[in-house]
Amino acid sequence: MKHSPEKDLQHFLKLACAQVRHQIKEVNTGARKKTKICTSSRLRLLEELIKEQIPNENPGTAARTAR
Amino acid sequence: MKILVLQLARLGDIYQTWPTLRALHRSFPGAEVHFLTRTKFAAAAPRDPGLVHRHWTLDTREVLTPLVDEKPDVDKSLEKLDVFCEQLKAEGFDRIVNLSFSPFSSYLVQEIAGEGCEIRGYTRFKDDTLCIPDDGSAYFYAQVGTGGASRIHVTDLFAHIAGIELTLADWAPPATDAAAVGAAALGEAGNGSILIHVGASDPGKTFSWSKWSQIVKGLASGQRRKIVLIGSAEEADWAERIAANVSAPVVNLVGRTNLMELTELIRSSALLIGGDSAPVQIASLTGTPVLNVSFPMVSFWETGPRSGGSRVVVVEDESALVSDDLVSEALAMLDGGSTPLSVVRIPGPVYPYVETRPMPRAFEWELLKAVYMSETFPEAPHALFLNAVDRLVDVNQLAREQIESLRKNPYNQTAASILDRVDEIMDQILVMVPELGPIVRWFKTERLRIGPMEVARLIEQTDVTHKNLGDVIALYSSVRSGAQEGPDDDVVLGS
Repeated sequence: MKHSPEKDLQHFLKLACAQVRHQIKEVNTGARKKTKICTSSRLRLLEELIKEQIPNENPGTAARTAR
Repeated sequence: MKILVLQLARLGDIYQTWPTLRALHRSFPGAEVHFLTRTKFAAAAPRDPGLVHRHWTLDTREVLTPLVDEKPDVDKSLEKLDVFCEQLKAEGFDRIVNLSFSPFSSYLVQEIAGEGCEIRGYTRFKDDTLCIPDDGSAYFYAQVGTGGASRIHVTDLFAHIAGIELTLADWAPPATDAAAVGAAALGEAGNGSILIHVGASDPGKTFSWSKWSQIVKGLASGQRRKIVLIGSAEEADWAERIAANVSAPVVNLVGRTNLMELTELIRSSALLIGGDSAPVQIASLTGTPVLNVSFPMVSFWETGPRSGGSRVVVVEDESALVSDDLVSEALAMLDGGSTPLSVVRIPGPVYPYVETRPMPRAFEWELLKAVYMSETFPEAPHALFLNAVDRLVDVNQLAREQIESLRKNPYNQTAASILDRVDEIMDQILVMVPELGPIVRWFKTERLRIGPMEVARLIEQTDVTHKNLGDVIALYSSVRSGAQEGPDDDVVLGS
């Protein structure tokens, strides 16, 4: 990851998360063509990985957080 | 047979997975056991190839790097994820055991499980909704966490989810890796010392540095063993403040040991004192007694020490705990004595915790055992509970009436809408009578497990879960003994 202060990092991750969510919507409505790597479930996988890095999106830590 | 175990949580959870890895080999002789952790916590994974055939790591940083830009390159990140997923999928695992319980891990399992793979732990249905295929994971989903009343240790739950039973042999200590262990730190600490882990993954899981200072001072003046501070590099400042505030000699190894060295230190020490953290889980494997200080944000029942001779002290508020009392408890442990401070004692890894005094929320725990383990239902704790049960009976009856309407006309919007509101009413009942939590959370989880299916079957399956709820609460609604009703005990629900 590029060297970046924590605040900037959070900004970029939130930006990326919004873009991934937009792509999920597009894939689900057919506005974006599915490819082998760009499917709804792969995008959700990426979305969840990003969310784990954003404190407000993923309150708590470790195993017992996420349902 | 090829098995993949996912453990994408932190160091402590990885150490708590070791017994399950061992037991899988015992239960499936000749099986290839693969292990997946995050790169950041990879050092906590077993290095013995006889225990882990292949250790996979997920490098979050690498996957997310293309996104850290004003113009995030989502496709690039997807490509990196694709390489990772396809490599795992190509292994053709016969069984995947997901011990992570996170949304990310559930999607990952969905992506890497091939045709015919048996999945245990969270995954996803075809419509991407959460799928909980096994009862152990359903228990975790419904009941585990600091808000719950569960007293099942996470290590045991991991094993249950993996479909195996633990024996004492599964708690064997990690093999010593001489190449990874420097002699300097171990020499400073010596054998039979008292280790103190001053930090934790969260400040709410440990004492303030000033409290630790008082405890260290007390220990130094009360006995002759070396006192050794341990912890990670991030905790070094904290430890320096403690060491500087204590006039007695203290060996400060915080930030100076790798995990293998830490394991050796714990193995050769007489006692470890600390909050809920990885060293406590390492001590469970090395058999080192632990004096575990347990704070409200964790449940010692679920993640406390397992090594024989360990004890737990509950600290609701550190200012209310007299430092010398904790020191006395530690010294008593070393001498085989006792003080009134500890609330549970641990006979050994395969034995249940022994309470030294009745612990809170015992009724809810008894209720959990009745619902999940077919034990006897406990007597209602008070009249309000029975009143709430009556309301639950009414709500359940209302739900079943709507299901009957939907059987006749699956497009009946009114019935569907009333059914949707049933959850809200149950939540209100729980606010009034939290002791009903185990039953309501069990019911909601079982209904969630139904998953997507053809409408007629969905209606039938939903009715089955409501019928099962009715059977459980009928036990209380039909028995009014054991609690006195009073005029002010009615549960009144808001609109």
